[in-house]
Amino acid sequence: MKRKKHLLIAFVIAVSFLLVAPVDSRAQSVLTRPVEFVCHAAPGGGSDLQARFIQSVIESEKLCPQPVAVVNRAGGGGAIAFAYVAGKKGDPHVWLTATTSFLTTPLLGKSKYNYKDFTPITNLAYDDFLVTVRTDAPWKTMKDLVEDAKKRPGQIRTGGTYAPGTDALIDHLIGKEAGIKFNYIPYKSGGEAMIALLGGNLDMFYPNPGEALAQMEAKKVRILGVASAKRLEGAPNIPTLKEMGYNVSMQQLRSIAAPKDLSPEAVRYLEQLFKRVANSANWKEKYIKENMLAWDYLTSAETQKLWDSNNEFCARIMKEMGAIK
Amino acid sequence: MIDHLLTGFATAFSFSNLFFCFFGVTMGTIIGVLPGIGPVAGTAMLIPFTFGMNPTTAIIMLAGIYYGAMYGGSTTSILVNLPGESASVMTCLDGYQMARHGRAGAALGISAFGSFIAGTLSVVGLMLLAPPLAAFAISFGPPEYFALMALGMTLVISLVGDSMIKGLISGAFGIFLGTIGMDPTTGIERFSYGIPTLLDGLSFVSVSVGLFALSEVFEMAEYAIKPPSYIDKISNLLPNKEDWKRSIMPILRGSAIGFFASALPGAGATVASMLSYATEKKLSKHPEKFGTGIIEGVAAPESANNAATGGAMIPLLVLGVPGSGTAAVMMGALLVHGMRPGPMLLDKHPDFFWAVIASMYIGNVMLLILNLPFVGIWARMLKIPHVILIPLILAISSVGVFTVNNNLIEVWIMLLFGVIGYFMNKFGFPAAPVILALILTPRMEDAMQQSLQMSHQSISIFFSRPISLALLSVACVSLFSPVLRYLWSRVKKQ
Repeated sequence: MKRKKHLLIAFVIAVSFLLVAPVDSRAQSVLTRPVEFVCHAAPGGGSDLQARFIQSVIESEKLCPQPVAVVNRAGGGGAIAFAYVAGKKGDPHVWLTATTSFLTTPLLGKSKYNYKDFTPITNLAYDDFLVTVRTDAPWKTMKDLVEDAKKRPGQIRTGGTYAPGTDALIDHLIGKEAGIKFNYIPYKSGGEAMIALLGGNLDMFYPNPGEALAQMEAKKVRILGVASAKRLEGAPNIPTLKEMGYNVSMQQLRSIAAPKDLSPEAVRYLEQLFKRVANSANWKEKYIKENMLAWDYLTSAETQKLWDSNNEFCARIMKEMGAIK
Repeated sequence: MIDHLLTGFATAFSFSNLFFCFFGVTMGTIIGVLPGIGPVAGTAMLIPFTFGMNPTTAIIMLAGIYYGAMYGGSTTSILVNLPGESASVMTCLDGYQMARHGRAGAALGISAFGSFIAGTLSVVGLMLLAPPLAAFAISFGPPEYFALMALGMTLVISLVGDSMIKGLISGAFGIFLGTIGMDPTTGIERFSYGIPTLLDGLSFVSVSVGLFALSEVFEMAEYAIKPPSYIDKISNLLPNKEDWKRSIMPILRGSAIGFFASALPGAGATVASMLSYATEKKLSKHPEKFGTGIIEGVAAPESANNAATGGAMIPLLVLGVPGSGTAAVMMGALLVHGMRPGPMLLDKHPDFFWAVIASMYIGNVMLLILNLPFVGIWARMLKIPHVILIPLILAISSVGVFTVNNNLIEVWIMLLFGVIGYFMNKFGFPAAPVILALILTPRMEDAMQQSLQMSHQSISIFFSRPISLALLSVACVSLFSPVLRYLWSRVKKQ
């Protein structure tokens, strides 16, 4: 008797699932059920904040007929999120935050899936890197630093996130361009590296503008240059490394990816959706400006090109560094 | 300062601030009770919600979630040996034993009062000591962290239990588990066998829930039919005078340890709660009773993890650098409002700083009022028969562990460690050293590699810096004190 009752309950539950599932398919839109916006990093980081901001813009301006939920699938330098999203072939309801680790983790052989296993949707911003030293450091300019570094190779302590992330790439590029060698010390996060810089345990560090400018205002740090092709809009008095004769230009991407094999309509739909996000006043004023990012909006095809060129660039540098063969 | 604080209270007492403070601490308590979703994920989920608020209200609410979670975390630790968040693991050791002896009420009560005292003291500390403590925090470089973790590692010995050999085997097992994952400097994979989940190391939550809660569930299953005798006698719902006498010093010491340790971004609330538990055991006249269900063993770690909330705000508010995951979420929320946390924050926005401080006093009072009436209700949960309680714990643990990274492999890891924990229990191997070593090893290794990179592979860096040298000396004393004491007693006999 008892067992029959259990079977009955199980049956009712099963049927109710079947009833719920097909209801949404009546809708005409590309998106027929809630969107899972996968963030490859843990809560609290830059990518997580970006994903949550996009979610709030989409919701407050009603840009999408379906709710969007941010889901963190952190771990393995992004490999866990990449594998999850790559497995959802053809599904426009799964989006992924893609930064430079989207290219470097597969290059290092830590992820089975590389950027070619995804559909590019857009790139929304670039984050720059600032060459930063303490205010009481002896180097007033990049030239002072390079001269000093030539006198004592391997003595100046630079740092950043775990090797070989973007910070390590920049470190290598500066060293190569200027013909010097630093002593690179990896830290778990940008925050820890900043504390090490302030406390004198690092001499130089490459924070993003959003991390460094508050310290600059308080005169705790001095910024020797920015590692990008043109000067920052929010801080035009900082020279670029290129102007000073060091051809170092690298930016962190802030792209959105979706699984492979999306229908052309779905790609067009998502391009339009993100175009509206990128052009919203909220996004430009509160996210881009406050985090000192460079605004961008690219179509799917343009994003593909951006990824191709960045991937080729990262692969070349990492080979030089000996990080990959 | 008094003026500032009064203005702060005036702001914090506005209706919306009071409401969101209450909302934050209530959410925090719930997040703390549920395993898996810790304060970091809890605050991150509410980030879009804060975009419409003013920055002060947003941080009042997010901070409320943070310290509220520390109150809630003790509940399931005490009742069913299930750590609600990682800083509550140590509370399991004596809290659960107290519950088994019918003293769940006293354990829950002392953790609520201890949390209140420690939480309030840490706000006082935040108010008075923030700038000098921030200066102290940045003076901690990799060699100092290495020395601090080495000191923590010597405390493994104080957690070994009856058999030194078995305890040390447990500790060594924990160190091994702590080396799983990617090498921090070279990126070389260790023991990960191509499983991406293992690249960042074993998740502390999965392992601790497995070793504590699941192993206990398996143990319970042996007695599922016959209810054990302890469930009938749930007496004295609140701590009595004797409890208070024994707890007050552990609460005060726990508050100090929690506050100072968490101001260091590389340490944090979990390490602080472990240090305070081990310290109490070292100082106690009856160390052998720790782990059998004594109230000091609950009071110390629960105070430490609450005091940690005030300390963890210091790097964020004074330096503008987030010292913990939750602080990073708060920083994100502030940036969106055009408020850039940094060294200038105190000068530029004193009203914000003082309103947050004032709200933390209010929030702690709210939490005490909120939590005390529940003590009786929670304690009665123990009357739930095992046939219902066991699947309930299994379900809550699995869902909780899954939500950490939305990753099913974590659930398998938890189950595996449940089985390991069950057999460890049967053969008398203590679980606490595994957990302590697991959390300290990766931090110690990072710090060691960074230090050696700094010094071009010379170990003299650990002895040439004063703070590092002092901490290592204390570690040596802690390590050899049992030997010295033994030798001394031999000498005295002769």
